[in-house]
Amino acid sequence: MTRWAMAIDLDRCTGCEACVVACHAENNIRLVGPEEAARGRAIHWLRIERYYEGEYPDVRVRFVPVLCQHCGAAPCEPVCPVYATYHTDEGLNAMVYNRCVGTRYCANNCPYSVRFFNWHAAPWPDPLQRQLNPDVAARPAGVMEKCTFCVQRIQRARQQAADEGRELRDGEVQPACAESCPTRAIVFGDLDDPDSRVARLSRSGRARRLLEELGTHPAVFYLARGARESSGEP
Amino acid sequence: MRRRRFLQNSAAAAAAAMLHACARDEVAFIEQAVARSPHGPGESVWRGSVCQQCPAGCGVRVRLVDGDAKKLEGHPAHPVNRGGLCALGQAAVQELYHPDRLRGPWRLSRGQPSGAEPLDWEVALEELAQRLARAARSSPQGVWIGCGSVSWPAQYLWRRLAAALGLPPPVRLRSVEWEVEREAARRLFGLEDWPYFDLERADLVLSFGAPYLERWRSPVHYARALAEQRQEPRSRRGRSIHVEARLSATAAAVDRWIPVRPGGEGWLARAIARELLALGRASERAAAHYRRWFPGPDPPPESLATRCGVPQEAIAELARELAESERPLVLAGGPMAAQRHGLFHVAAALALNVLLGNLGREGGVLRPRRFDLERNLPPAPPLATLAAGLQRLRGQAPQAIVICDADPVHMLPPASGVEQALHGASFVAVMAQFLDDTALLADLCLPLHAPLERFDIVEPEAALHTAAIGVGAPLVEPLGATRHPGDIALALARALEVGEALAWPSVGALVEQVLQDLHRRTAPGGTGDFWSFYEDVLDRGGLWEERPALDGLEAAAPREPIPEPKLDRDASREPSLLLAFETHVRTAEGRGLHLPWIQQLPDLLSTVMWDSWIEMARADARRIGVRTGDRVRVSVEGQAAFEAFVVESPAAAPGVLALPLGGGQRDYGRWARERGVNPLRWLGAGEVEGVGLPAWGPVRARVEAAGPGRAALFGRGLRAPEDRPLRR
Amino acid sequence: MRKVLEHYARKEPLQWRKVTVLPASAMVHFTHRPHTRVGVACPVCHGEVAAMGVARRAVALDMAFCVACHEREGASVDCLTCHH
Repeated sequence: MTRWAMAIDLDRCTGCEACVVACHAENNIRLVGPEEAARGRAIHWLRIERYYEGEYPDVRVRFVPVLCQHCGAAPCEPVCPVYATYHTDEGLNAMVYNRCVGTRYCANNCPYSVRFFNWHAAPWPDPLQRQLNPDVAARPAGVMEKCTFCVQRIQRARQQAADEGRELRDGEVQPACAESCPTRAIVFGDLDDPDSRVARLSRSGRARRLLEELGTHPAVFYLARGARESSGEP
Repeated sequence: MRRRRFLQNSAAAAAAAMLHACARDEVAFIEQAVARSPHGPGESVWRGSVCQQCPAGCGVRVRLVDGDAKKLEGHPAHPVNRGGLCALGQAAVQELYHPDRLRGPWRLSRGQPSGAEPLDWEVALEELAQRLARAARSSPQGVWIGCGSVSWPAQYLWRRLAAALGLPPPVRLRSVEWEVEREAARRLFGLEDWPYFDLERADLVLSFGAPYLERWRSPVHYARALAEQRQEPRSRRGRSIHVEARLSATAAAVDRWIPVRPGGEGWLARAIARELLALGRASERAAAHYRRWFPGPDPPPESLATRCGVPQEAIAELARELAESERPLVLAGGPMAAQRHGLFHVAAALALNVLLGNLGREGGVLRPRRFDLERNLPPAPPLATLAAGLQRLRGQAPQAIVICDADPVHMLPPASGVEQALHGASFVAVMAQFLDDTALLADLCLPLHAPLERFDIVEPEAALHTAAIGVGAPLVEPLGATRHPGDIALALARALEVGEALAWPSVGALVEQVLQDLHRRTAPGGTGDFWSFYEDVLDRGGLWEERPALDGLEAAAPREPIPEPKLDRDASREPSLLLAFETHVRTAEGRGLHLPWIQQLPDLLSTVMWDSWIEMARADARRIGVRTGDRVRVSVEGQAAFEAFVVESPAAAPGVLALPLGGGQRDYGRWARERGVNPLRWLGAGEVEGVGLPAWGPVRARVEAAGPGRAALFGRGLRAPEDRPLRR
Repeated sequence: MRKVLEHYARKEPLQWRKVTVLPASAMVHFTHRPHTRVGVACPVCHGEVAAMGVARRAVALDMAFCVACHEREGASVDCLTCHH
């Protein structure tokens, strides 16, 4: 069985936000203008959180890229009255736009604040629509959306492998954020394959999970800054 | 012609097969029937190309579906970016399909909304040719050509055209700090180029101001280098320290930030040099060089510490760390270089490399490698430096001004005289993709192809220790009646009867000739089929040496001292210092802010979207009674200047205000128009000493509350009592 | 066929009109590849096109139709297989 997971190495991340734009480009995330953005309606499936420690002149900053954690025990799932969000067999926290009726309970119950509501349908002034990714649905007004771990890329890679009559290889599926990352800080793969890079990184002494203490069992591992372990880390 | 058409449809992969196929009628029939995609409707096709969003020259792969570009990825094998692609690079595909792209030539009337009129290319080119001929006849000095294009064919053909017409060479249009950094490299290392900093193999990196993780030479290249410096198979994790007056994104991402007094960077470098010399870390020869660059008596340590705002002990510690490091490396540049004493700051910092003896060594400062694309082409003098160009602009007001692919009105401070010259000239032609601040002042506006619509070669402007070029071919049909700036030069050459000096039928033919030459030079024994080489280059989106080289680099014999700042007492009564900074997507050039993906990208530190902002210390904000999101009125040197909203920062130094570069375009499309503030309009500060360019840098300013605002902040965060996750 | 030849004579691409369409509002991502790979015959979804004078939609491509086949053939019925 496959269990999709991600590892993000905070010692490599420089907070450049290439991943944020890559996510928009891949996933047809709608354009939210300045007025809507000022009302808190901007949509970024992936964001870089910034934490200051200390005051001038002794300040340190930490960056944490935050996206849907595809929790094994996701708080968003049981509160959906119409089963629009559920867990797949492969560990993805799925979001089915067709079912969603926009109660927004899921966003309310997500401790990571990674779910977004479409207050309006997306405007794509001509010819901007020519860039849209045909593999990703354009969401209508009134539904929730969030990171899918680029499920369309998972499917594309799987079809490719099936056409060639073989299994998926480790590293073959790359979500848009991972592929764009200048420092290769994001690693994606199958946690159930003990030899995959993501599985090995998840066992590193530097690995942590976000708000793990809430019992959400996130599928995203963060590798703390600092020297890496001599053994075990790929 | 047939090959060209084929390339327009699809470029290289199935190349050989299709070349043969096209000859056969029935295949042509089928190809015609399936229209634009020879790969079947809905199929993805990937092609190589090169990014032109900044001069770094990253290799890219383009995903095409049914003739439209969908997504850009970094090319995994290209030595500049090795697979990564930054936010601006990712957004190039949105620029391609921007609804406000110029799609045909226009006659404009110098920024007046009335009187704009669309033109045919023939009419536009005829008028440009006549105007150039007339201005050149009265005085060759009366024509001023500026070129900011990162496309090598555009640069080469315009240089060649200017030479053929007996005109002065076109002027390289880059923002001031690029030129100052180049001048420092010329004086210290004798390079007419930027040096390469081998950050990946350094064990201690000390950077002065250089925003190398944000923009600078190539953020993708240097960010990757930093990640490898920390982690690749090495016994110890490399360390990185950043010196800057403000906590920038680079300062935030490295291991340690050392705040300095604004304008104190060079003095910190001088203080470290003093310690290094005392520790005996420098060779005698290096010390002698240093003394000739900085002949003045060393100020006493306590005075140096005051000037840079770093405690004496910290300076000594820093010097010791450098001295004990096996492979120390010092970088310098960024907005600091554009200050009045920018050359001093950059040169004083870079000179530490000479004292540390890392020139031409692994993990040190290296000589850049280039292919020398013009070795076997008709010669064309190099672009004039910006300093020489601006001097000429001020000396004799030009009659005709031609600007190619740059927005000097936006990216240079008003003291550059560019805007004045544009108003004064009797004819202004601008080649651009968008109606930017410079194009607004044109009589004639010629629309350019987007990079994915044209043949091109891009040489990474700040070179690597690996010779590399990126090569692009037309991958999508042009959105409108646009052209390559090089093809415009070729058309003008024909109209002005200097066609034999520019004898290529098109930019594509020039690209082909250069690749033929490179094929002879780089293929083993000059053998192998050129067309398969050509297709391979187009498919990979470039050509590069596989292995980096370690070319020797030595300190240049000092010819003249680096000018040191005099200590002048600050007589201003204004309470605060206002400085401007770069971010990942906000540079002096302002490129990218016309794109929604870039405008709505939350700034890494402030989380601001869609606007400029003033960053200030919390205590200062409290003092004038404002909070994050409120608006303030800013006056500069006693003059009312602009309004912006406030972002409080715990990292801001008291009394220092900071404003991001890049905003405040007058037009540049619907998403950039009149949005934010262009700091360069307010931060002019005399000349960069020793370089002759208009300086901009910290100025004295005052802020006062101007009421509540509606800032767009991306304030999402984790919902948990513990505000700081992942603490070790 | 005359129309086809006329287009060829004018060197113009044919203007195909799609008759088997999934509306965008269905937010379904269908690709032929996995279906042809396992040998789903074309007429199952397209009808007997060879026997049609004018091509028309032959099968109501609703979710019941897709899911029935997926279940019969043991293909995935996870929502994300088609909806994303």
